[in-house]
Amino acid sequence: MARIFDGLPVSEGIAFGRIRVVRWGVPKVPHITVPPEEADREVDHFHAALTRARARLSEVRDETEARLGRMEARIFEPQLLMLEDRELIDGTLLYVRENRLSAARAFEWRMLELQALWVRTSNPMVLDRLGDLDDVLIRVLHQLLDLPEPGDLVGDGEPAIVVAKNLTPSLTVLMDPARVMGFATDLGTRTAHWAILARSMEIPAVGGLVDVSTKVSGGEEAILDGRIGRLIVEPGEREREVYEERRVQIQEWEEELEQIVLLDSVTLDGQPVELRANLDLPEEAQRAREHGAEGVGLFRTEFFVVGRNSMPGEEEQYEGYREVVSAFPNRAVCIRTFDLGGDKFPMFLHMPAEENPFLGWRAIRVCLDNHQLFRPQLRAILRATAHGDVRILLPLVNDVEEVVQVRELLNEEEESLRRRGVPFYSGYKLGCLIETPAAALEAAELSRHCDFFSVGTNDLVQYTLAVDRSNTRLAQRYNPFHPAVVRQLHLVSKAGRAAGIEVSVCGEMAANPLGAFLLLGLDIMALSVAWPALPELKKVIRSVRIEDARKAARKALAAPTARDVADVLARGIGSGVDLAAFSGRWSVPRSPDVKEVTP
Amino acid sequence: MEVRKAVIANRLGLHARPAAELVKLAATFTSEIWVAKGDLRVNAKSIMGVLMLAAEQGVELVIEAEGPDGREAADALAALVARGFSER
Repeated sequence: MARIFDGLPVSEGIAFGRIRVVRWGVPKVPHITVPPEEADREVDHFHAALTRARARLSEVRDETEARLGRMEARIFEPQLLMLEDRELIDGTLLYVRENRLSAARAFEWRMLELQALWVRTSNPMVLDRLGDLDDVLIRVLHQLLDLPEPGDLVGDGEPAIVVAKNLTPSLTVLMDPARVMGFATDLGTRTAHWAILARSMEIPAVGGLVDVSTKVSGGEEAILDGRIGRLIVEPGEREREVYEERRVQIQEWEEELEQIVLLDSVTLDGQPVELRANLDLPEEAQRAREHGAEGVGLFRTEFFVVGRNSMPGEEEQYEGYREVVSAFPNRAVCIRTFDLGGDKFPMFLHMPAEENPFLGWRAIRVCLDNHQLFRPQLRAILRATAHGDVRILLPLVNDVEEVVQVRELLNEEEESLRRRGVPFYSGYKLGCLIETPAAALEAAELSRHCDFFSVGTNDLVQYTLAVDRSNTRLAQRYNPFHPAVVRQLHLVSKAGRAAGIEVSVCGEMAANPLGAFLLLGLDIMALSVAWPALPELKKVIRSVRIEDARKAARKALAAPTARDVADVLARGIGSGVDLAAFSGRWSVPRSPDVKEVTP
Repeated sequence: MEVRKAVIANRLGLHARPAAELVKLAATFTSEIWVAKGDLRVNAKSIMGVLMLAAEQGVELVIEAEGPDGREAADALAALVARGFSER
């Protein structure tokens, strides 16, 4: 009977092999004390071990540079410095001389002490680097205790799926890609150093499997799916066949996606659909274009403020906005004003903890209360209008008055720019995100004050269903196909059409094949998704007929449950779209009502 | 004692690689050098300490140097931080 472990996708691809459990962990260090007269010998032993560890790590770095490149090799710089670190070395020597510990025991103590200091900061950036600390600890202890190199642990030649509690950068890079088919670990996320290396090496990997390393013994056959983050131990005949076939399909799929970037975003029956990208940083504009973006449906601006202790200046913001606007000449670029609050708050706002942050002081509410923060942003965006089709997007709008207040601020800022002779384009657009039921139900009123609507489906679903989407216990209840959501989408689309303004959707729903199909059917012809998901979305668009989508949407509007909505859509989309081929790696919601994307 | 202030300029902040650069530069001076973020003050020549700072973009660091080449050391380190290390 196959056993299935679900974790986090860390490095894409499908792997077959026998499980090999690697325990490149901290070796057990015997508690040995040494008399003072032998301290000198321990000190020499320690220095020699450090020298050997440095030499070996330099080789690892050089090998990495030769095989993967300079950037990847630089991952080992901090570790090399650790091996020369005075605080580490002097601290260890002190324990040898004053506490009469063996070099190995003294080094372990000192490292654990430093590790505890790091953990106490509880800063994610520091915690991510604990793997480097482990790497150094393990490497030096292996030298001190005369244990074998990690490379020897892996291979007897048979293709293996390496299972470990966690991996370290040096262990990962020492694996032979010809023999190591995949990695599966208890811990580990996409941002760990070893994960970055695994992707460079093109070895599929799954992290966050909790305790898989204790649940397997080694030698079992397994399949690893790095796209959805799954490990199947002792798969049955059928799973094996399905995955063999899938591997070939995925290869063809990836090749097709590369081609699709160059093709038009148009349905089978000729309906063009605007495809835009959601961006978090200006630097992503280029990648988005390469993936086929025809504009930016959502440019999040929080990176200017989160984690900073001072207000961002107008000039700095202007540069950032201009960079994105210039990357998309004559194309829509929707800049969302600061969406602060909830889970992201900059230090300088001195925000007290709230009982219900997602129902609290956030987004447009913060900006309208804090002109010192808001006005420079509006000025910077106005100045960027001189370079292209800029649209100002207001988050979490609930009523008309909020839009009117922003309009007044904009008028004042326009006046001041005019007086100073600063160029801007007065034909820019102002619109709001529809992401609360209040806004959706008020869409007709809002449409008189807005030049466009963008539906933020993530929040709309969350606020409509009163389901916190970060709560894993509620994951099954977070369902974008709930009839209440579908009906609001319909309402907003209708209001926009009646007012002659564009309605677009930015949100994960648009990255889901059935979600995109529904939106097209509701006459929403501009979709914006995270840029890596663009090729798959274009594939959906090019595989469906707008008439089928409209028919399915009409049925969906009459469907009594989320399950019925999903069924209607799945039937409507027909065999033209192979739902199983979609990767599901861009956090497309996987609810039980949506056809599973896995075989 | 030479004291300089510098704001982290590169987008990713003082992550592992810039931290390594800072430590390497500090090691070229004979002065004692410290870097502080708020209450946390660490030896600039120790990667163990500097990695703990985990300062993000926009955060102000205080650099202090004591010794014969203290002025040069403080200037050089502050400049390295302010120009965003060798990345941007």
